[in-house]
Amino acid sequence: MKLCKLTACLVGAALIAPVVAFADADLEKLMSNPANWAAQAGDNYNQRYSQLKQVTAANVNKLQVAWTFSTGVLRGHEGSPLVIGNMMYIHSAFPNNVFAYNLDTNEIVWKYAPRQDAAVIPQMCCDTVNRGLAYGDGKIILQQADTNLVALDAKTGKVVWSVKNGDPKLGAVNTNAPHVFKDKVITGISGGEWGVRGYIGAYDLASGKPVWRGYSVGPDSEMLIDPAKTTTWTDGKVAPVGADSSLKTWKGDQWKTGGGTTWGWYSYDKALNAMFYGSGNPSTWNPAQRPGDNKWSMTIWSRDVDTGKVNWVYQMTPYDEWDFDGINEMILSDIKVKGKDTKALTHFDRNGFGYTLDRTNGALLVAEKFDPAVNWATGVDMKSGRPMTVAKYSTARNGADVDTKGVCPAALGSKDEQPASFSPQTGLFYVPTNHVCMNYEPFKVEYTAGQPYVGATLSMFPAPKSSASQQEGTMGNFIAWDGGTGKIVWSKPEKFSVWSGALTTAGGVAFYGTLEGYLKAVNVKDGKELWKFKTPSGIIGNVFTYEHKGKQFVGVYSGIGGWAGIGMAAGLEKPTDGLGAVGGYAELKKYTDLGGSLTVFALGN
Amino acid sequence: MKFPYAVLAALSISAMLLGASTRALAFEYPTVDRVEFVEFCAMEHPNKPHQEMVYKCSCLIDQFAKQVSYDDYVDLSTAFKAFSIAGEHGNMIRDSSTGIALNKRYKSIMAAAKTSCFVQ
Repeated sequence: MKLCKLTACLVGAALIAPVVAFADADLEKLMSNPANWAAQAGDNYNQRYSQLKQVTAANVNKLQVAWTFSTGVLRGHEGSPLVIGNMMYIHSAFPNNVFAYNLDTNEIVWKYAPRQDAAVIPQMCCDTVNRGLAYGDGKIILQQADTNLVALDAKTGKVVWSVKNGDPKLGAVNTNAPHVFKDKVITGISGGEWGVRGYIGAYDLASGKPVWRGYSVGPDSEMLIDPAKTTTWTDGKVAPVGADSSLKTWKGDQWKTGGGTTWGWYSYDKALNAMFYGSGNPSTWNPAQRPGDNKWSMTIWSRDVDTGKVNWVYQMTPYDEWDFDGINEMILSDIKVKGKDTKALTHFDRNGFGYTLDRTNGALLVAEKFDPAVNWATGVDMKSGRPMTVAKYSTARNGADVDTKGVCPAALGSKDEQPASFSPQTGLFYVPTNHVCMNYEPFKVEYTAGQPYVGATLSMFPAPKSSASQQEGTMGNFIAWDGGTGKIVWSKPEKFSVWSGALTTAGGVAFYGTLEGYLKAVNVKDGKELWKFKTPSGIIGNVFTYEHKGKQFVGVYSGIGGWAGIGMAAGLEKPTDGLGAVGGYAELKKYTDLGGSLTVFALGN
Repeated sequence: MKFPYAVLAALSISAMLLGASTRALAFEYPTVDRVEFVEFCAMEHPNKPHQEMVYKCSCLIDQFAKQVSYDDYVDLSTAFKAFSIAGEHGNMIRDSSTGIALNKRYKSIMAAAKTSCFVQ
């Protein structure tokens, strides 16, 4: 394993103490200046809120295109660029090119084009996306699809260190953004559809040296769980998990291919020295093959950033029967929950429930449906913390080769990875959602290393109307949510599911993108649409904002890879091909102008 | 040959009306979308003379404009493009009843438009 270049290791080792303290303070300072967008969420709390207020609810309709940038790469573009001072760092979908762009001169200062084996492409279940870069200690951190975690000198683009985070031959690949917390780079792994056993890993920011790795399932020692100290919500209180809390919930050795991958957005509370994230679905999708609660898949985690030790866990969907992958972001906020000031963690799960927990100890405070269409469970039992499931929607009870009909939400959930935003100004969460149900038919599969391990066939359809303003057949909503009470404040219907990350600003505006390619601005108070602009392709990226030379800019990636002619050229012979059906990039050169693009807006003079 | 003024006037009025209504339909679509459509469409026919494709692709988007409102066109074309999105996101459109119906409509309008615009 190549850990780092010798010189970089030596430098890192020699300077480790002063560099650590400096890196932490440096990034914090950058994040506190709203002119920057120094982390994927703008901050460590995953709030995606900006203090900038030049663009307001009153003038947002005057936004116009200031500049654009084409990444030259087709396929879905998720995440957002970073802005640090006069530099913007732009990333692309596979092959994960990185551009350093000088905002003063409008020139590319450096470009990093990793050489990755194209064999990794068919190992990616859900398009060859990359959710963006991280910054820390003068380095730009890139988590490549082939699992190489690479630190680039932010000034020159030269590789400072590179470390391998997983084995793509076994289906372990990366799509998540790395996160810099304190003196560490935190990253996860994808491949739940390939039977990969998920983990979260910390690497030393200075040297790239692995520091700790904590698995989602398996023996306590490998999860970094202390049976006496790690707690969970049970029987109406927080209590230690006890020995073998994961092993006891799996049949035999099935935990070894048990999933629980970790490809979402992580958050960090400096005061608690803790990081928070979610683990994904257990493998396979056929529940009959893995009896038990399958702990700790589908779980909210709190870990100590220095050691990886688990503070607490809360499993949302024990014994998953629907692929309600639990990786969505954990948003930290200090809000009133049921009238009481709380250090809260709020999470919108695929399973359709919006959870608020006390992030200091993992106590369950709120668990309510954020789409009224959700029907697989009637609610969450607040004492046990378990969902109260409905028998007729149980794919396990109905069994293999039986089509369970009308389950809401569909496998992609009431919300997928696209991150929500929290506005401290209103105290509300702004959530892009799906409004889709499914028929789900599990079937038996054998595990083969490096091959898809799915075991279910799905068909989907729009959920029934959930509000008076919603038309029949619409597939998404953009909602405002009160995390302290678990109630929808307003809901704005969208024809298609909303797959773009949201942004809120001190100007009283919430932004999000749509599959049609619209970037939309709505009033945070009532969801009234204030402005929209159609970008060249559907938006699955996250909206971000920054300030340069006294002007506020708002930007977003567009690019879903959805131009039909190109789809065919790209080797998607049959449009019904699903998992892993991406490839053939060689033929695409002539179309690259149609690839992912960044569109940046500002108010006209 | 003398042409009765009344007939001439009637003809010119109806021509004006026809012109006006066609124009209203065609120009309901924002310029940027029409330009994008024509550009991408021409790009899909790299072996044809560019100017020929500008005429034919303009004809195609005009056919859409005659039949569906701009918002409906956006829905139809979104569903059609989404059919080529890889992975589960694409599945959500491909496998959904809404996506299937929209895509079918887009294809049928396009097929008829191609015939009348001489696009192979």
